[in-house]
Parts: sequence; C-alpha cells; structure tokens
Amino acid sequence: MNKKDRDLMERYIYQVVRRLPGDQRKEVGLELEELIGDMWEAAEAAKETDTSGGTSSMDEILTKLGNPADFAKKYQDDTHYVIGPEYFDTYRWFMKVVLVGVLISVLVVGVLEGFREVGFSLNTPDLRILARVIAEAVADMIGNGIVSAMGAFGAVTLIFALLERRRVKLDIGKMAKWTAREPGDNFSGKKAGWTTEYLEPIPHKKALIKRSDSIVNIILSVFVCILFLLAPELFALVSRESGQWVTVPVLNLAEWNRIYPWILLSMLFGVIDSVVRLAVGHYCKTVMISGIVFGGILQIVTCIAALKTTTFWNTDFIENCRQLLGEVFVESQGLLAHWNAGTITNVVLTICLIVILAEVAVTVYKTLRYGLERWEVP
Amino acid sequence: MAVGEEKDLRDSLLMELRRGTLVLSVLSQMGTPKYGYSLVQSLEEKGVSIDPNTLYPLLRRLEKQGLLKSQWEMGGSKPRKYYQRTEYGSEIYRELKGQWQQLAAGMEQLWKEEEL
Repeated sequence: MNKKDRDLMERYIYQVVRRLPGDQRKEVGLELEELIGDMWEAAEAAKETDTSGGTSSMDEILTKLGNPADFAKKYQDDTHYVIGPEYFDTYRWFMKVVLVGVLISVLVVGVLEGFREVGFSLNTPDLRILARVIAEAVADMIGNGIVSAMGAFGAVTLIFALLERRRVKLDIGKMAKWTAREPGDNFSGKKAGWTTEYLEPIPHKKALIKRSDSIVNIILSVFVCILFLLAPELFALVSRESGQWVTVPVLNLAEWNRIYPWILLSMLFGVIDSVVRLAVGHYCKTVMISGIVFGGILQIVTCIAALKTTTFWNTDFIENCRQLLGEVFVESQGLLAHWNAGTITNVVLTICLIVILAEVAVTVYKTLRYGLERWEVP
Repeated sequence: MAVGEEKDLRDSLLMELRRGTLVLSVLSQMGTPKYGYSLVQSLEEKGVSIDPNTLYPLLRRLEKQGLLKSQWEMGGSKPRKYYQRTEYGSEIYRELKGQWQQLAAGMEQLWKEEEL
C-alpha cells in the first residue's frame, strides 16, 4: 500500500471513529484497518489477473464502504435517542401545555406591567410618552415571550431526556438475554416477552387522577415562575398619593437573584410531581412516593430555604412607606409591629406548609384507600 | 408512482427481507473462528452477499449480546480479530434455524396454495 492509499485509509477510519463513543474508537479503528487492508489485498490480487487497469483500489474500496457518517451510524445503538418514540407523544403534548402556559403567563405579566407603566406615565400626561411606554411594554412582552419559551423548551426537553435515559437503562437491565422464542424489535432488547401478567389491574374509579388537575398545576407553576422572574416588582403596596400613583415593593429585589432560584426549584419539583401524576394517571405507590418526595419533602425544604435562609422581604419597606405614604399610614396599618418580627415570613411559611402537607395527605389517603386495591371488572 | 420512487420502494423491501436473514446467516458460519473479511468472502461464495459496513457493526453487536466472542490474533502480518459463536450463540442459532425451517415450510405452503 503506497503512502497516498494509506493516507486515504487513515482519513476514512478517522471519519468513522470520531463519530463513535470514546471507548470504542481504538478497537473499531483497528478492525477497520484490518478490513480495508484485506479488501485492498483482495483488490490488488484481482487486478493482477485483470489487465484493464482502472482507478486506484483504495478509491474503489472506500467508495464501496460508503459515507463514513453512515458507517458510523451502524455502529451506534438504536437506543441513542434524546427522546425516543416511547416518550415522544407525551413529550410533544406536554411541551404544548407548557408553551401555552408560558405564553399566557408572559401575556398576563406583560399586560399587568404595561398597566403599571401606563399608570405611572399618567402622572405626567403626555401622549408621546404614553405611546412610547405602550410600545416598550409590547416589545418587552415579545422579547420575554421568546426568551421564556426557549427556556421552557430547554427545561422540558431536559426533563424528558433524563426520563428517557433512566428508562432505557431499566429496559436493558430487564432484558439482558435475547431468545429466538421471544424476538425483540431489531435486537434492541425492547418490547420482548410480553405476557398477560403485564396487564395491570384497572384502577378504582376514585383513584383516577384528572388530567386537567395536573395540567392546571403545571400551568400555574409556569405562571408563578414567570411572574417572579419577569415582574417581582408587581408585588408591591400601591397607593394614590396627591394624584400620583406610588408603589413600595414588598419583596427584596436587591437580593432577588439569590432568592429566585429557590422559587424556581420549588416549582420544578412541583412540575415533576405533576408529570408523574399525569403519566401514571391514577393513585398508586409510584404517585404516592413522588408526592411525598417531590410534592412534599423537597417542596418544604425549598420553601424553608427561600423564606428562612434569604432576606425575602424588602428590608427598607417600612422606611419607604414612611417616605412615600407618611408615618400615619404606617401606624394605621400596624405594619411596623409585624414587618421586622418575621411574622410575615412565618405566616407565609405556615400557609405553604399547610397547603403542601394537605396535598400530601390527600395523595397518601387516596392511594391507601383506593390506589392499592383491585377494581373488579363488572 | 415515479420510476425513482418505485426503485426506492423495491430496494427498501428487499433490504428488509434480507435484514431478517442476516443474523442467521452470520451465526451459521461462526462455528469455527473467522475474521470479518473471510466471513464476507465465504458468505459471498455461498450466494449470500453482505456489505462489510453492515457486517462489522453486526459482529460487534452480536458480541455485545453474548452470541459471539472475539480474540485478537497478533501473530500474522497484521492484527486480526477472530470471532466465534459462544455456547449461548449456538443455542440461539439452533432456535433460529428451527424457526427459519418452520417459516420456510409455511411460505412453501403459501406458494403452493397460490399455484392451485
């Protein structure tokens, strides 16, 4: 084999193995070198008996082997999906729900923000300013819509990609051995050996989880995430003082970058719990465990982290109220007494805990009461 | 249907038909150790053609599934990887062969009925 042929061969092998997982590259490289070497020897031997001459053997061999990308594809498992066919329909459907949720949320937040800005601009009535404020609000809404939709798309894809990875692993673990009596689909080891034992009992009517409940939960979570991300300043004390609208933010906007991730995490756990409910469709052990872990423990931990480990509320709230609204207002509302004592934190935390625990209790009750028994087919 | 489309359809149907027989064809030859290209040639001589770019990945997959085992021979002019059926591979091969014979008999019956 001359230098040019060897060079061509090495280039071809490189183009195949660079597309393979790292641990396979060396051995497949050696195999291909053996194969191409053998094919080259056979072609050279044939050439000696054939007087017609023609093109270089290496060209013909590599052309026969075809596009290196296609060759590499054949070495890869069929299971290399980000989201495989088994999950794809759910993924697409779920993506629609989330994206609709995102767009509605962005629209609602945008309109609220728009009204706020317009309200402020009415303090100095000028049509040009008003028009600019409205145009800016619309542009913000479009920009936020695009960014939020992209973020949601990425998050949903990530969740499903993780699901796919876990499930694929489980399937391979279950069907390690393939037999001719139980042929799988194209040797990937999936869908093999189904028996009627796999038929799960029909769930009790009262154990069924309404799809709409999960969807509402998901959309609300998306809404809260977007509201707290795009417009935490909407949580404010609003008052009209001497013909002008004034607001005092309730939340600690200066530290919001540290607080928001906890809210996001809390909502994410909630969404995971909703997805499990949606996928399973009825109360059972899986839903109960997911409810306790994602809907209960992790939500409580993130709520406590958000409210207790950060300075959640605006520390200058009282001061701002005094400046903008006057001492009388602060006194009259009894704000001073409660604000600094952490009363608000405790009240909000208590409400969160009650809601979370109530939901966990309902899940556990319904699972134990209806989810574990078999509903006789009439 | 356009001529190109018809050819594509015919090719894909033929490919599907052949794909089903590939594993059985390969397993049938692996009672004794063979390296990849010798297998291509021996199958071709017997009228079963298989592209090397299909065979090599298939050999690796069968090895991963425990039907074949492999060993590198470093003694010759260049390193060669020899494949051979494992015990489990032989067991599967016998099962597949039995299924194939049943299938062939069934198909034969179908042709016969068609001729009547």
